[in-house]
Amino acid sequence: MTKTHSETFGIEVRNLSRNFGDVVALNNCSLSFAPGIIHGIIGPEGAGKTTLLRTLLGLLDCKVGEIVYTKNDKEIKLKDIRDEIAYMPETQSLYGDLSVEEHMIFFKEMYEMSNDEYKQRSQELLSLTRLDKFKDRPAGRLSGGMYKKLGLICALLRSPTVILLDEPTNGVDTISRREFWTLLYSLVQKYKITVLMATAYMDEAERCTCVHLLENGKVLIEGEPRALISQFGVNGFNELFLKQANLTTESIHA
Amino acid sequence: MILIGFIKKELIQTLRDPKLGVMVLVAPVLQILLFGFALTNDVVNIRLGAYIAPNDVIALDIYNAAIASKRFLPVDVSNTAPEKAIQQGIADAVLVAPPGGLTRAAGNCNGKMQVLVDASNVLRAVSIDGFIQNITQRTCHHLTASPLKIVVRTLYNPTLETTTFTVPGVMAMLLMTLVMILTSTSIAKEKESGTFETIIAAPIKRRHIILGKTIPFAIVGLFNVFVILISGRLLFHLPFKGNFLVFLLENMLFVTCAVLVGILMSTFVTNQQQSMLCSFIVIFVLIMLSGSFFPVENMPGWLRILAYINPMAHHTFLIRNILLKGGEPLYVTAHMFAIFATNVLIACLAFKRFKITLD
Repeated sequence: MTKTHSETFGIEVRNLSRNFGDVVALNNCSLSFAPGIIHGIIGPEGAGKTTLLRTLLGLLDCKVGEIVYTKNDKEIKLKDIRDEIAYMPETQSLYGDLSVEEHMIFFKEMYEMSNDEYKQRSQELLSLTRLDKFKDRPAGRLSGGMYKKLGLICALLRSPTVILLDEPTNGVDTISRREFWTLLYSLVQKYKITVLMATAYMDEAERCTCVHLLENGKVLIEGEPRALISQFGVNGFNELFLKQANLTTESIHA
Repeated sequence: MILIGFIKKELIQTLRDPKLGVMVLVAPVLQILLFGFALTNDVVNIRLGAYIAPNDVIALDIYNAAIASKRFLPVDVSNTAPEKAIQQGIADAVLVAPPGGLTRAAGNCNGKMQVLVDASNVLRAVSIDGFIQNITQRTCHHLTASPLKIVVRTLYNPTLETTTFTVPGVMAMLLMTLVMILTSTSIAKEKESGTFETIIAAPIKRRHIILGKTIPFAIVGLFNVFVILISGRLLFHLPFKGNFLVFLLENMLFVTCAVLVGILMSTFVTNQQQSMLCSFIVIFVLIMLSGSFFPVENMPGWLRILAYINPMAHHTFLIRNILLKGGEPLYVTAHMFAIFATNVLIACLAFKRFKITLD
């Protein structure tokens, strides 16, 4: 049986700050993530999105501030739920010389999955992403969209409760982006996972269930996209962001 | 299970890359061939001239014995002054018989012959001096009646082949270079390409990554031991007098050491370029202080201490001992323990420095 997540799993970030030398990546950042929905962490490059995701996963130390993980309203430690969080980095994070199937087998071993579990899960994901015809193709020879889908398959292989996606649609054409989003919706619907997705594309904010607007390591606004647009009386997220951050259009993606 | 996944992945990547395949298979054979033949201190092709009268029997005997030894090549210097022949590079050495000839001088108990040797290459000059002394003594032994007779027996390398000395050193050098660079560059490549972030994002332990990177390259290294050994045996007729299992065990220890050095080095670098530069510096020091090509005994005291903490030096001592002398148990145990102790130390350092976070 494919695993779905009935447990409520939440993350709350309290006053998180992080510097890299003189560069402030996160500045007293506080936000919370409700379970079972798509959260968009939106902001221009350098807003602190990647640092936030890496810190949530423990890849970067949480030096100033606090991150609270809860399961069924009970506070737990990161190491106890580490197995349930998957991550897809922004960079080219796959092996160009390994095929789609070899990647899946490698991650199956990494996640210590049983053969039966792997067989069922891999077939589901391959069919969902329509990569089943490209199982033998090396990752280095996949198109940009297919490459991102393979990254998503590798992250989702072990049925995570939460998935952190760092700019998954960056550098991908419009059609592939649309496909990616359709795939994401079906995954959330099917597996009841919580998605935390960082993106610099403002138009993608409106596709999320909840958005968290970041600028210079600070949270500007949070909420449901349509409610925010109506509350601030703007035509879209580009305008909303510019209004809030007082930025120029050059600093953000159209 | 995680470890098996890692090993499979590394082996697939290593064996699939054609350039890496060439590096692992062909490069050791090519290098041992080049180093074995080119890196030799054997002094041969010595151009020998002579100023000897046709009736000077003893001097001519010495000259002819020298040419017959095949180390010397005859050159005609009759139209040049002896020193000029050396200066002009016509000859490396010139025999100059005394006025009236060496035969007559020997009859008068004053048998002295001058030999001019080009000492612009000191190593070559010392060897030429030794060869001529040796040939003279053998040729003229009937002229002297010494009660003392010294018989020198050269053990373990009776023909004094330089390759018998250098090839085990080349074997150590190739193994360390190849395995260390493969390991260090593989981790640096993961860091540079971003795949390292993907790996550490998975819920795996540090030991899984370290062992996952160690075992595949140790396998590749051990495979190379055979390639290098077979090449050494076929190309240079390198003797093998020791126990094969001891040889294998010792090489396993050394290959582990090379992998661990590679992992430790990878903790200091973030990309492949840095890894290559770092490898170059480390391997240079390790080779120089290994006794592979320059005897450790010739080094000053403080440098000798460094050489004795160099695992590659112990490996070189051991390879020579096992291959040429049959592997004296006490000697082998002591040096293997030295490599083992170094491995433990490097492993501790590598484990301490190897981070599975991005901080």
